[in-house]
Amino acid sequence: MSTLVAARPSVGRSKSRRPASAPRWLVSSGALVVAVLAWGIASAVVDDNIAPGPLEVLERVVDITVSGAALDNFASSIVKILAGFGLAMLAGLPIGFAMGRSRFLSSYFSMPLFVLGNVPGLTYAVFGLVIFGVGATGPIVVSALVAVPFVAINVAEGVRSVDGKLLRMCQAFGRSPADVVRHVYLPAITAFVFVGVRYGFAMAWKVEALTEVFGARDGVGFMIRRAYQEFQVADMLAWTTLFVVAMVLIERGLAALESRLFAWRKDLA
Amino acid sequence: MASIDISGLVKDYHDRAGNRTRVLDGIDLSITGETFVSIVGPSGSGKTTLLNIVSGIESHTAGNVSLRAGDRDARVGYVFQDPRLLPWRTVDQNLSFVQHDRDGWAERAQHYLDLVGLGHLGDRFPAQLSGGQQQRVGIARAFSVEPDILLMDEPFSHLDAMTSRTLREHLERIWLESRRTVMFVTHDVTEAVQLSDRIVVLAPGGHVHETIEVDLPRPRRASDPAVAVLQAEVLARFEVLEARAAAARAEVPA
Ligand SMILES: Nc1ncnc2c1ncn2[C@@H]1O[C@H](COP(=O)(O)OP(=O)(O)OP(=O)(O)O)[C@@H](O)[C@H]1O
Ligand SMILES: [Mg+2]
Repeated sequence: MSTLVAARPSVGRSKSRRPASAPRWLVSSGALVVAVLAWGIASAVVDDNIAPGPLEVLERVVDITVSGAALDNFASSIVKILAGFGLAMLAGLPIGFAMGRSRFLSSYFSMPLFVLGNVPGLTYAVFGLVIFGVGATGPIVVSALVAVPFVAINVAEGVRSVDGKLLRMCQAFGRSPADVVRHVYLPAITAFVFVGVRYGFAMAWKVEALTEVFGARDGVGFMIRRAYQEFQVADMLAWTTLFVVAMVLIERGLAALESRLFAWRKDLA
Repeated sequence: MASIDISGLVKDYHDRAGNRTRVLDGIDLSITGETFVSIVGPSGSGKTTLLNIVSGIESHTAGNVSLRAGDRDARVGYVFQDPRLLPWRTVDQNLSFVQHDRDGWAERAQHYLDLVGLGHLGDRFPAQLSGGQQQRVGIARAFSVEPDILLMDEPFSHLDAMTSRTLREHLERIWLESRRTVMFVTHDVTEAVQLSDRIVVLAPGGHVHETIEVDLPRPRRASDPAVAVLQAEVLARFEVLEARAAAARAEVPA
């Protein structure tokens, strides 16, 4: 994005460019380095088991990764989230579509979706355990419930954004309803669904991990709880670090996919 | 051979309070064969509404509209006032999208894109084209379905004078090469005289005020004296009508 903006001719000062500034990633890694340094100093000052330093945690991260435990547990969490997210899409797409087309249905669904979207994560986690017991079902259902409002509300926004003029164009050229859904509605809502997916995924992941803390036999949340029970603070932090890294990677992946999907938004070169 | 037959066409709009506005009031119009017909008329006289009803986008209150091509229903191509391209599809994909007939569509699309001078831009997205180029894609799209009937609603009115003159020339050239039954809506009497075989003047209130046959050789140049004379004459008549429309509007309390 930023390269596109920079490449545009600026009015008035046709030759001069903005002074070269440090790239974004350099600045944000700088922030990371500062934070890690601060942590290292703090842990050196405290000098206690409850405050392991960055190196110690890094060691645990490497151990966990090399032993394969990281892969196993992340895979287990991600499979549950994806399953939940699949359910959320199955429910959210038609609900959102209906809300976008009908004012009545929009009012009808707005309250339930609002409630679903605002129930505290902890409540979901506890209810997941009470209703489904220890196992995979609880986390799957919980991540589906958390993601549904994000998907539905964004799909509805996308459907509302469809230009009536384009629909009339389709009609004038005798396009079938199936063609209109495929070539007009779906592309129009994709951008909105994408926003829903990015936020919904982050939310679903957090609540899912919380659910695993209470009722699971594996997964990242479960590993964090086990480390807590065994009083392994370094392990807890290591799992948390891995959790954050995984979220950043997924976020980056989605962003890359987004720029590929939305190539049509490129301005005049 | 294609034909458009409109008889006793009436269109009412109803507002929320249930008040009725009659926009078209008994239109009779028959267009047969490879005829280029322009619909001119003051703003609000129902030109777009007429075109939308003919294309089937809008319903009508009474009367009959039939589009025929031989013994089957006619195929319609529509050029709108704005390009109306799918922003998420390339130029080629936009043309592909409207095809009824998948056979040989790529050659047809290429052919008409070449005719509007955009043969090399098939891979671009609409956002990567200028306004005039987008409008030309809209024209190529309408021709590429090989329509029996071509409807155009002020296709050049959003463009600057030079672009619209070039596109007018493009349009006449394409039409001469692949003649169709055309209904062309415009504000611009000069444009109507240059392009049409017949000019139908709509009056405010939505009825046909008069019909003018234009019997001049083609291709026509705006600089041709015969064209200029007819343009001046039609313009004079049109101005009378517009003045009357303005007076009628002034009588209605705001
Ligand atoms: N959906 C609608 N509801 C109510 N009235 C409408 C609607 N669409 C158009 N009209 C009215 O119908 C009349 C004719 O509109 P139309 O768009 O056909 O005019 P036009 O001749 O194309 O005008 P212009 O030259 O400005 O494009 C106008 O008075 C307009 O206000
Ligand atoms: Mg109009």
